[in-house]
Amino acid sequence: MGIPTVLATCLYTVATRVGANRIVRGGRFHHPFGAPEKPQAEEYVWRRKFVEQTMHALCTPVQQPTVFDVEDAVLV
Amino acid sequence: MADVLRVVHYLNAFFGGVGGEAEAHTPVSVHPGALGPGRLLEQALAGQGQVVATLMCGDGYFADQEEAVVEHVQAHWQTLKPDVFIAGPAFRSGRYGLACGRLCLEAERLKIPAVTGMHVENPGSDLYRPEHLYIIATEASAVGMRPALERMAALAIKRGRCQPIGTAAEEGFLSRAVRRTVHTGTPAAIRAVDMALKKWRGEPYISELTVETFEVIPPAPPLSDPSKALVALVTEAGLVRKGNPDRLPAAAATHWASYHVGGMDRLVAGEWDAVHGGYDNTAALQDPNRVVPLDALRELERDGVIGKLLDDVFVTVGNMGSLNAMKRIGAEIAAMLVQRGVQAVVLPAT
Amino acid sequence: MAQDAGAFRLEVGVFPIHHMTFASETRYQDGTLSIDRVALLAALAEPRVMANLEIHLAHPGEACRIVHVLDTVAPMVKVQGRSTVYPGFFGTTMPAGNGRNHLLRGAAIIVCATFPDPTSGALSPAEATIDMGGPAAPYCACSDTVNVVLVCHPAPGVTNADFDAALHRVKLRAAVYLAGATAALTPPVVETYELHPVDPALPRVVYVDQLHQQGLMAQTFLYGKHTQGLEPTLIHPNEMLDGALVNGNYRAPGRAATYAHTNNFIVRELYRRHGHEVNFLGVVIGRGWQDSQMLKERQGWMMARIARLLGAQVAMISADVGGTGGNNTIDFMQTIKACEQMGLQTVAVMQESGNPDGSDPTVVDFVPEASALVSVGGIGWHTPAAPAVERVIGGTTVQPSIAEDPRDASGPLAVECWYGAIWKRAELGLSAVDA
Repeated sequence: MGIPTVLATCLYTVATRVGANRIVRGGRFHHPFGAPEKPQAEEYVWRRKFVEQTMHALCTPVQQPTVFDVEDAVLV
Repeated sequence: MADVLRVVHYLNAFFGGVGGEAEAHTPVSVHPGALGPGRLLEQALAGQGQVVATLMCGDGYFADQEEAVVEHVQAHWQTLKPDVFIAGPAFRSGRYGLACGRLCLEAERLKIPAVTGMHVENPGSDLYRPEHLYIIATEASAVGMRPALERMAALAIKRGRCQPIGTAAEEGFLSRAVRRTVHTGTPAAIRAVDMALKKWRGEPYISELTVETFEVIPPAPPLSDPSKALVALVTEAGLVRKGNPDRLPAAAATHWASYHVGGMDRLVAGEWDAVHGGYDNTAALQDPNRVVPLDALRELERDGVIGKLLDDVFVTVGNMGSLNAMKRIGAEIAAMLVQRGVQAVVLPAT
Repeated sequence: MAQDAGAFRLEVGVFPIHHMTFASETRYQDGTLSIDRVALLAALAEPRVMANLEIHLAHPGEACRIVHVLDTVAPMVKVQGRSTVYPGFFGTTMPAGNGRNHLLRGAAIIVCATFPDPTSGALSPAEATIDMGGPAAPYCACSDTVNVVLVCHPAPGVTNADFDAALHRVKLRAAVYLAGATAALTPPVVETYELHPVDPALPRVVYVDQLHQQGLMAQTFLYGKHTQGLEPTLIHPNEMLDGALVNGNYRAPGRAATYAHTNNFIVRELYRRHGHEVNFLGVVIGRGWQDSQMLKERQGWMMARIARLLGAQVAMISADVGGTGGNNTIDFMQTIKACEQMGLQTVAVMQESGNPDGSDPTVVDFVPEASALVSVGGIGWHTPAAPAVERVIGGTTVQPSIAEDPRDASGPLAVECWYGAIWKRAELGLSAVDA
């Protein structure tokens, strides 16, 4: 098909195993594009940055499953 | 006394007796009766089956002209009407193994039971075991020809006669990505501690589960100019319109749905539900954009970072999803996306 | 004489149950438990939270179906010792794992209810059904015990959380009340549980048990407190036998239960072999179902380091008897990997998933270190369908999937998974092979 697709998930080991080639990882899997611990306005800024990172992944050539991190990824 | 099974056998040109440089470039040909190792095969069939014809092709020719060879073979099957198709054994010969695997797959698609044989490390094994083909495990070289043919014949007879097939260990085939429940007669805890003690003592043990590998998907080329691109949102997070109008299940989904988001700047809480049974949906219900980031993508659209966002969002539920169902769902959604000229996909997953 | 609260020596007086009946007084005699229903109701009443509580009896072999099952509990009571059974819910909490209990073996308390507020997503109860007779019965946990079924109805306006808290209190009080009928009696058999010192050459084995904890509806309690923030810790198997782990997980019907914790399959087997083939050191518990990849990996190491610090050489690993599916497969695999990399040899017991004919990959995640696995086969594989039944306890309709309409509970029923199916499959010896 050839449509570049970016998978946004935190469970990147599963994603790389099944062969998803562009993976952007974020926080908790209950809300891949959410950071509910942040105040609303801050959360939206984080989400916009995450979405921009997904665009970056879509524009990047890759040879194999590749994980792109959102800058200062929320871990806990 | 049951009818004698009509067997068609496939060999590469080398085993068919064509040697030297000509071997690789031999086009597909058909010969009446058994050829080369086919004679041993016929002995192994012990009167239950007869090799009515042998198809032969050079491995190099097959590699260069795979689709044409497949068409030829399909035409021969039409004429020969085999009850069973047997290919190889290919041992470690990679191109031969790939050819055997491909032809067995085509046979199965035409409802002709097929059996082949090769070494576990043959590339044909990796590629075709996930297709659930019956591939007898052989030694690395033709030293193992006789036992390979005997097991291939035995399995072919069972398949040809629709008799029950034993486990992979019993019949000697490579694991074919199919599991079957068995009654061991021993509770799991006892089996587990027994296995632990064997492992501890350095004694051989057999794990009850080994794991399949996934096919490699060649990456799609990147977007050259996102500011002109039509981008779509597809998700397995089970974000649906309130009321779940398409009845997506909490697990093991077999279908998908699409929801119109044209004219929406963001997803509004209260209008959506998250039915995927594998994650805590509290955050998603408070703000569905945390799962499907429509708000941020709309802003990128307004800012000209992306060309346009597709007016529909495609949704399924990935929780405990059967791989085959998900493959079909993915293919169906992909076909829709291609039809609508989508050039990139963002896929939130939970 | 000063009692040694750290002795971890537990005696269990076992009273077999073959039959139960309602009568004017609660009494145990020759394998039969007579129950004064009025007195039991009075002991369990939660008028603020429960509008109504039904008490039913169900025997193995009956053409009877129990629906909306949430949990099952072994009836037991502590007759000597400083704490109670099921510590943390009432009475003295600590120390547990000592003294003497009386246990009604062959009996179970089953609690059934529907929560007042609708739920969706992961923190949502799934329908779980037990057939006491017929082709599905062997695949249902507690189809082979004599059951006291408590069907609980919420009072108007009560929240799911308050109702859930009451359900735990009710089921555990019932356990103590019923076993209490034997308090003054002499048990026909007394089993003693103690990890006495053994030949130091025997392999030192630890049981690593990953508990199910995600939130309300998907909880495990340790000494009365849910394990949301639990960092892996060590417990003595006697604490499990004494009811230190109580189930509040109502997700996939194959799930574990309080009964499965007090009767844990690996604990029983390691005790059986202690001193003969193994040196059973203890149990490491932690919670699985962590929220992110990093926390899943972290959890694996946190479990493994305790096992290693204990000096274990071998780790038996399970996830609550029923929890090795979904995203918890990752936590589980990370635990195996961490234990192996910490120098322990592991064997892990797990279930498989995939579609019913087994032609799908059956695990979602994997690590190369997971080289010794015991499988109990798959959820939904060769699960027998059940015919119509004469009697249904717990409700009138069932909805095994949210994608389908609810249907008549007494009719023929084909579900992907019966109650407790995973631990039942472990007991039955079911497994899977490549075919």
